[in-house]
Amino acid sequence: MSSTAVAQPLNTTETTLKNGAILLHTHQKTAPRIAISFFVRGGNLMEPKAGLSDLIDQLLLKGTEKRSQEQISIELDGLTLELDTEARRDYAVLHAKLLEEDLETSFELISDIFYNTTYADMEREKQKLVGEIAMSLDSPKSRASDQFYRKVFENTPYGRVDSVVLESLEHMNSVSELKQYAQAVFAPKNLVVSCVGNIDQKQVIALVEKYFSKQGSGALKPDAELEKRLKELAFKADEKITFPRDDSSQAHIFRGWLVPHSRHEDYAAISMLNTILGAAGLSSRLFLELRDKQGLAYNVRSNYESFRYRGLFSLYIGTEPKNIEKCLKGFQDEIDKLINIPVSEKELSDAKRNLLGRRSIMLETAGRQAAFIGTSYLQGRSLAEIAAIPSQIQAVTTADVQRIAKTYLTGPSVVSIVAASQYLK
Amino acid sequence: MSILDIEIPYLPEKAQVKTYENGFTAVFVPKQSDVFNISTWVQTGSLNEDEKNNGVSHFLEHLMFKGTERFKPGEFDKAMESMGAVINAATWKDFTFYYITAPKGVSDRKQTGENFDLALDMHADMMLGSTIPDAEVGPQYDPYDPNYKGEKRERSVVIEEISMREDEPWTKVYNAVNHMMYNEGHPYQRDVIGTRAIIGSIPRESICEYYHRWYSPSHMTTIIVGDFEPEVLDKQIQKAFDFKKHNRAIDPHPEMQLSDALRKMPTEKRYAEVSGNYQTSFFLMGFHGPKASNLQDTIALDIISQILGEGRSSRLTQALLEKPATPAFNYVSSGQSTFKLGNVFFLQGNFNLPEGKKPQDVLKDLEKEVTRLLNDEPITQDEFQRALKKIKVDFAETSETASGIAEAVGEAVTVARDIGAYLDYPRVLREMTLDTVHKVARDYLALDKAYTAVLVPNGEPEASEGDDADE
Repeated sequence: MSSTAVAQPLNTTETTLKNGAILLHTHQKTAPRIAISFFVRGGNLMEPKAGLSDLIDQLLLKGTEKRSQEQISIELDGLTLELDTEARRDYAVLHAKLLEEDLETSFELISDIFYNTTYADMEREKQKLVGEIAMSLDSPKSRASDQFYRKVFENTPYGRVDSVVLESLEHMNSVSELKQYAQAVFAPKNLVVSCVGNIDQKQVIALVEKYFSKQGSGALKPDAELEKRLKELAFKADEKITFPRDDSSQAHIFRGWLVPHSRHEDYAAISMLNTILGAAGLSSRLFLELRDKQGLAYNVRSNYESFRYRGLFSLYIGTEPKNIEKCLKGFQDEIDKLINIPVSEKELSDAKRNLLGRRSIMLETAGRQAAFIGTSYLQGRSLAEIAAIPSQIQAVTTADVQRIAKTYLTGPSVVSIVAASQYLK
Repeated sequence: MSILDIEIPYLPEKAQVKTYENGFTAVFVPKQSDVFNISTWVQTGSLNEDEKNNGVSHFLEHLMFKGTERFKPGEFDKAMESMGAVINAATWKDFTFYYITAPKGVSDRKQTGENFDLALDMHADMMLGSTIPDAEVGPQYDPYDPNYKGEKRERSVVIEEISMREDEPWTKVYNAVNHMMYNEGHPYQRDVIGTRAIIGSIPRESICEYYHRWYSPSHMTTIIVGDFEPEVLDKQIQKAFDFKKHNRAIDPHPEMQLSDALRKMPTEKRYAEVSGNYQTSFFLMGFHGPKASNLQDTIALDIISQILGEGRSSRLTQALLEKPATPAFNYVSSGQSTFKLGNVFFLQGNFNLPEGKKPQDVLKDLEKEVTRLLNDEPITQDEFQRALKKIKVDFAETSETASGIAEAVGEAVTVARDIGAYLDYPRVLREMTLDTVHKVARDYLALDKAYTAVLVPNGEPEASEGDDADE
């Protein structure tokens, strides 16, 4: 096999600091700004109540003991410090991009935000979050996606999608509950800092140790019972969930199966199956068959998402509503082909180059590198394991892809459809 | 052939603009990187269209991927994606562009890497030699005929794209404003994607004719960003882009066919409401701006946009989202789209419509902020300096990726028709004064010339979910 795959070596080092925080440092000379992603474990997974981490995220830049919301906003914009906070299933993260001259000021500000946020405006921010979620669910595709994840991960923390958060927010009214989770989440021992840029490691270590020195509990980790529940989660039977939107022009269809997470031995093979079936771009099988040949859709694709303890493999198509059955059959036909006929050596090696090439394009900027390294680490991979992904991809065989299809795509699945009601009968 | 050496902001090496005798332009931007980008920008979009062929620029963009005399449909996609490239294209009012972003690949022999030659060859072949096969276009059909059982090919893909866009509230509200902003018959008034009826029926011959007419050397610019020697590339480009079958006359630009009456923009404010199954209300308010080639006014509006609605400390964010005890707004922002015949400055957002109130009542709070900026509380030095710094940093960051540079150059060359719109941006920004910004605000942002559309909930209750709460 030719070795054209670009395995962009990221010279990342891992250090456990005196305060217990972990620093993932990558020296990168050409980046115009320094990208630092502050990851904290927990996310939806560990929150005692659905939506708690989303609400903390919503309140994070809204005032500390010494800075008002407006002061924080003016300081951030003045520093051109881009802060982007998000609450996810396994973690929450604050992505910062900053100039070297602003490093110290920025660390002081972020530390203040982590440790001294008052959460005083809870009621107001709760209402704003409700409004933002309502706005998002006004898109039929978002609605289809929301009910899809909700069903797939039903009754687990991974299923805490917008509509679940919306319902939970009604019963959330204790600031102390919020503060308690925030305290656990932002403890230095729970912090993973991923830094990429033209900056010395020692300098970052000093800053993280100086500004994240608060005492607190250790790294958050789910108990054995929750971990087991997520790993063993399974659908009992095929399920179909629908939602009528009478003014929707298209039918938005998701279908998905539970699959292993990213540290599982099948990760690379599932990634290859995903690339071949529907994630390569314009040349994947679903695209060629359902879009190019049958003209059923503009947007059709597959997706493999891996969380810390579980993964989801899914297909999406936006189609003319009278073609719902045709599309579901089209999905099944493509799955059957993967199960019954091994992919060719050529198709597999093309898919390998596709995945690894797109990865090197994705990692072109410091910001995306910092996010990628941190996310992979939070999914439970060591740096050595992150570096080994390309060789794991290279090792996948055509038999592996077929085995993966048989193992994971023959059992029950969940289908979610949003369309005008007349098509949902 | 003319050669112009240029300095690309934030890149160490000089770039070159080459204009060949037939009018074709190539821009070579050397950048040390593991990734290269090849793109061709064509001066075609809804600007070139009329009521009969509306959507043809975008439909053609789809069909350009369907094979050439040398390569069968799908071969380009397969060849590029199996080298790890990201390929695609986009069509808007003034431009259509096609790009390949690819890893350069390992090669001891060549600076450009092993993937570059094939990518450039296939890209040029596609730009000039697309055959637009009948079988790929598909038979003409009536998209409103529920009984049509015939074959559906690319026409249907584009029709699904129209439907997909209709399902996005932001696109819907944008189209409503766009429709009001131009006089009847102005090419910008039409949706770039066209109508279902036209896409279902436009003959293949009309598409081919359009292709050979507009994909002429004087309407095209190819931009190459990556690790290479400009001298070597020059020969390669000349060989690849031969324009044998295309209109080779140095043509007038597409807007030359517009009558003076049509070019005039309406000047009175307009307002429209569209209802749907929404829980929240989406609005967009547009203002006519300067032509994209007017760099000073364009930059002044970029600064105003920062101050009004882009940062966390921006006036709209603070006044509408952060300060009120119970904010009606869920989201608000501002921005500017650049167009050859006149930019559009816009404010957009989403709100909950309180019982018994009209959307216009809610928007009064937003209008108050615009008035404040124009009259009562002009921009402060602090606001001005923050905006300048932010725009400078954002601009520097476009140089971080090969595709970022290519898009900035391509848009300047195709929309402003002047690479200076990109190259001079940092200097004009540096020389900007607060007085100029205020003057520009008064020139363009008068509320009696605002075009506003609101998507409003139609009052039907949301369907119940039939699903229990989590855990």
